[in-house]
Amino acid sequence: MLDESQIQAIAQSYGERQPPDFVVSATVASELGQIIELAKRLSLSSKNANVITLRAGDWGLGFTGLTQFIDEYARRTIDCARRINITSRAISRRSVRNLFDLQVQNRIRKVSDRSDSNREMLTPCQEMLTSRVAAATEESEDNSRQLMRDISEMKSCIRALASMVPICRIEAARAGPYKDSLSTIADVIESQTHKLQKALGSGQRVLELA
Amino acid sequence: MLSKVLWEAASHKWIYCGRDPEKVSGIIDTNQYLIRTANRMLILDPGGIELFSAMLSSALTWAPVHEITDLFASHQDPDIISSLGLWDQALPEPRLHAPALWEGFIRHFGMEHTQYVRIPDEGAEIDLGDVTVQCIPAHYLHSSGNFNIYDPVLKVLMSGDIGAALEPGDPPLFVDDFDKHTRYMQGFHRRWMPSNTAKNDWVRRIRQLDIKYMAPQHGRIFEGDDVKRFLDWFEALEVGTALRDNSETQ
Repeated sequence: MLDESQIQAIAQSYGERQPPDFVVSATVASELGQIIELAKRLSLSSKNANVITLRAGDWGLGFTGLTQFIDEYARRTIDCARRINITSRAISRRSVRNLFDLQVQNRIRKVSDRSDSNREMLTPCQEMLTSRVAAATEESEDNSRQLMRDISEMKSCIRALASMVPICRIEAARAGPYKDSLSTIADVIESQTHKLQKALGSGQRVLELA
Repeated sequence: MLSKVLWEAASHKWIYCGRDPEKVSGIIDTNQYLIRTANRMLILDPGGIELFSAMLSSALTWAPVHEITDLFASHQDPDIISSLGLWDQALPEPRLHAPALWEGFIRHFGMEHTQYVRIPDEGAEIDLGDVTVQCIPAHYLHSSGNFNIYDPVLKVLMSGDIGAALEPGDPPLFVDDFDKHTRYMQGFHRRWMPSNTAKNDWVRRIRQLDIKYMAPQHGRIFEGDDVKRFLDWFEALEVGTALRDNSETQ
């Protein structure tokens, strides 16, 4: 996971250049891709908690509903992270292709500027490339909008998970002989939620580099 | 794209990237290797244009972009380094270590931000801070200016096209039956390796190195005794101009 100093180092390393879009998208895919593993671990922790609450009988009733909620939101987070991964990789691939098209377009423009006969001959080719670049730009914009929607949904899921931590602690404190086991589970859930928040924050910071 | 750590020491690790299921059909499958230290990464034979997006994504899971500092091209072929123009745009200030002989040719792939570090015919070292790897001359195997990379700490030889195999399907990463494996190497080596003299000189020099793993750019990796088996097999094989007629190249 990239920390703030690494993100700044990335920005500075390019000097006066901007980090290319395809690098930013691929980095976002890599950063937010880690959320899949983190959320899987959170889902597993909630399942472990469920086993303890079943054993705890009446003492664990308060915690049972929480584990289901955590598992549900962990799964939603995984789904978002998968979609984000696919979309950001698509954006990265598309911007690489676009880079080629723009280079070809520039070269054809240069040839076309040299003479009128060249211009006439190259017009269909230029039009084809212009429409291809426009279509690619539109596709990238659609993908970027989708990416922002998924990130926003993921943010809500992680916020909901974070809001469960204090309630987990309250319910663990009420669990009598099972207090210690459920408090440990609450600790794990808190630490994993914290990691999810950090990974999301890092992905969002990387996006700002574009 | 499959991407996993192959070998690891305290100072650095070797990471494999390849066997890409989304690879465009009709292009030869290639193995890429990354050498990752604490704060730098070297990409060995980064591959062709068609592979670039998948390679960039894989590389970024192991290092942030500003720590991808070095590229190595064993020779000038498109499956080795035609992605250079894109790496040149992607990386902040990369160094490309490549044969001095090929500089004027490789620059055709596009170099605006990349520093070309010329490897002289006799070889050189690449210092990555935590580890130094050696560029071992392998000229005429197959390219007239060609190098392997030797890591004396993990005892790995990245052998480029030497040891390459053209095997159908989705083969495992390591050779498990050497004798069977030769059928996928024979045609390639007879046809692409032009000189028996160069081949035998390479075998003689490589026998002096302590090698645990030999990692080619195509096909499977050789481990332990299979490295020695490969050297024996390659030494005995008649290649290139040593063949009497066209039928023997098949």
